[in-house]
Amino acid sequence: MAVIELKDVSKLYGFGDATTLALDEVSLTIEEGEFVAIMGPSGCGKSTLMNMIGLLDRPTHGNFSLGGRKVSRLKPNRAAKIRRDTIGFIFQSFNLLPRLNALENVALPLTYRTNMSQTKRLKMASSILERVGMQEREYFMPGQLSGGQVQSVAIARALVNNPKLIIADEPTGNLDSQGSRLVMELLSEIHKMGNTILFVTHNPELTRYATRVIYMHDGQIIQDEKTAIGQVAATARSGMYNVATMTEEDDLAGVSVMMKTKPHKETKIPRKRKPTTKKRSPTTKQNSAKRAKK
Amino acid sequence: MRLPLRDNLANARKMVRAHRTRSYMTMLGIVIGISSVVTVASIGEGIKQQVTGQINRSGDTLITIRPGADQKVRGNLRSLIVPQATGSLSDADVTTVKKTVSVTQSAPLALVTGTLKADHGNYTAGSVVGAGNDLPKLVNQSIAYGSFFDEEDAEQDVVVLGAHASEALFDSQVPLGHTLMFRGKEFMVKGIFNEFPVVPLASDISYNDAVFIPYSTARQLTNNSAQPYELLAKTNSTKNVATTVNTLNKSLLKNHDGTQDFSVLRASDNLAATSSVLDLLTKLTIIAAGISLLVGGIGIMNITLVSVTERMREIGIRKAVGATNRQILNEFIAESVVLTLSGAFIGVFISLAINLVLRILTDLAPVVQWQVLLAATIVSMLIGIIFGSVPALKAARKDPIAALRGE
Repeated sequence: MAVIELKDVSKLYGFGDATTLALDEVSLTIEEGEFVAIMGPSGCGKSTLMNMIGLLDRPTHGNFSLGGRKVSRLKPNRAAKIRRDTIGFIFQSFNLLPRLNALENVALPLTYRTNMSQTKRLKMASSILERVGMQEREYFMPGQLSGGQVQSVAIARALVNNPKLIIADEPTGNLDSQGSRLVMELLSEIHKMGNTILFVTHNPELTRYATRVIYMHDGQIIQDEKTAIGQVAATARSGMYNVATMTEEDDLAGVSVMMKTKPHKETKIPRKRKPTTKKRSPTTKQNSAKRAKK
Repeated sequence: MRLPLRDNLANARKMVRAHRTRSYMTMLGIVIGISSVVTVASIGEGIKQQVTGQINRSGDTLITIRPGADQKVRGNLRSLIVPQATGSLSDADVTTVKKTVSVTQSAPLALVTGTLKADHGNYTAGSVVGAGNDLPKLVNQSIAYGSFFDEEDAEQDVVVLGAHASEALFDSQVPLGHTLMFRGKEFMVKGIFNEFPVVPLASDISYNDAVFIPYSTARQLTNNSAQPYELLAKTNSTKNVATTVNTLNKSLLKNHDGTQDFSVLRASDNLAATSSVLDLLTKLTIIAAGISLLVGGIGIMNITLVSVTERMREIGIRKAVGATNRQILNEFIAESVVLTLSGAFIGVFISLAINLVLRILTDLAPVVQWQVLLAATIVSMLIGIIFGSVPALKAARKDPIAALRGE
């Protein structure tokens, strides 16, 4: 059964000339038990897609059902309840509450459930922390833990409400290779338990863990590839996204394929990328300037 | 679907503790407001109880006649002023009152000016009062040493001292038989009153500080110019009080050619006057305290707003893990309610301390009523809810994605 079903989903931000198309008629079906890696350059709409699927955001157009239920026009409070009961979030910046210890952080989603005593909540949180190998550090404050450990606690928090779907927005983005490994191994284990996991990554290596890799560009899915676990996805391995290069000149100019727009999209809508600070190297800017001259 | 109240309050307390200084500063307005209201209310209640106690002592049957009409003007500060020594009451009135059938005892009280001199030099703390012989019975007060005046003392140079006056005038503990100088004459101490219970705010001369001489002596000393500032009378039973008051009023009106330039008051009228003055004071304080509470509430609103802005990310996280708008709202309201409630508790404690100091240093005996405490608690909670809900709503309505980005 399809857990996630998006049909022609679009998301627009802003008004008038400042309108940004973050998602451009995206259609996507994700089956239960899939471990999906989503790749793409900054500002390509990965995060918007994640937020949409995680019911933090609503699509401007299109239909979206989650677990067979139509959720594209949900009221915020209903969405909150579905998040509480069926979705677990893992963030790049961990997002633990600094004033709560590991155990209390993990128990946080449970506090928004009805009729669960504090003792019961903390017990559940404790057993989940044990699952992620953090039982020794239950009473540590987030500031006293290493990056990998903090993310492990965050994973425990995402797991504590026993969600069907786990959404991880660049879970390894702020971690070193060791921390990344720890986190991915954990996610992989959770996947083996039968959970559906979506994660965003910039690291092609991490597609080894995924069963499916989706590439996004300018709000569209440009490549959708099933891969075997343990294998780096073919496109990711080639180190480039599957964007057709147009001319030899482009190749000669060394324009970053990552940054290039597809030719047939160029004319459609005057696009303004959301100003994102990360990972936009000065060389790509120069290159695009060159391109603009031509 | 609400987060249990206990959790909310525990969280809120944690937050308040995390920003200790800030929280206490914010509470200040509430603390000042609540402590002033509670203090004034308890002082007022204390005075009321003291006055009531006094009335119970002298009994409901005591009737007071004073010069000047309209002594029982409600909520008028005029009733705070001690009646003037000279008034419209005359010797004829004294006789009329005495001769009224239902009056069992009566006594005029008249002020006599002049300097008092004894062991400790001039005495200025109290006044000299010419009093009728029945005074002790009328005010239900016993004589500690010696005795009060009787018929034989008419026009004699004897004095009876109030308890405090006795201490202030003489070295001796019991200065019976000692003499003091007044208006160039030597007066002998015949008796000393037991201490009168203190009635603050009452429109009476303090009997404890007074020096009493026989009324006839007072008239003689002043060549009949000393006029009563008060006539006290007592009836035989409580039932008769109303009719006696009417009879007295009628017969005195005849003496005064039909001019109502005096008033005949029952004990309860005195209480009414006192309590109306108190009510006025209480109202003024409540207004002042209300402003303080309003300002305090705005402070709370500000600090909760700051708290919301600071914790935008936290709000985002909480929403992401499934907090509904209502749950976020409750969390922040709980925080401001914890602030105002703690402020109220601190305010009540400060007021209790002030009350204690007042009891020690002054004649006031403030009484804290549970109703006042309950009202203080409820009002502070309401302030927390009302002023906290503005920033809390802001937090609750925040878009989770924007909140997660910390915007």
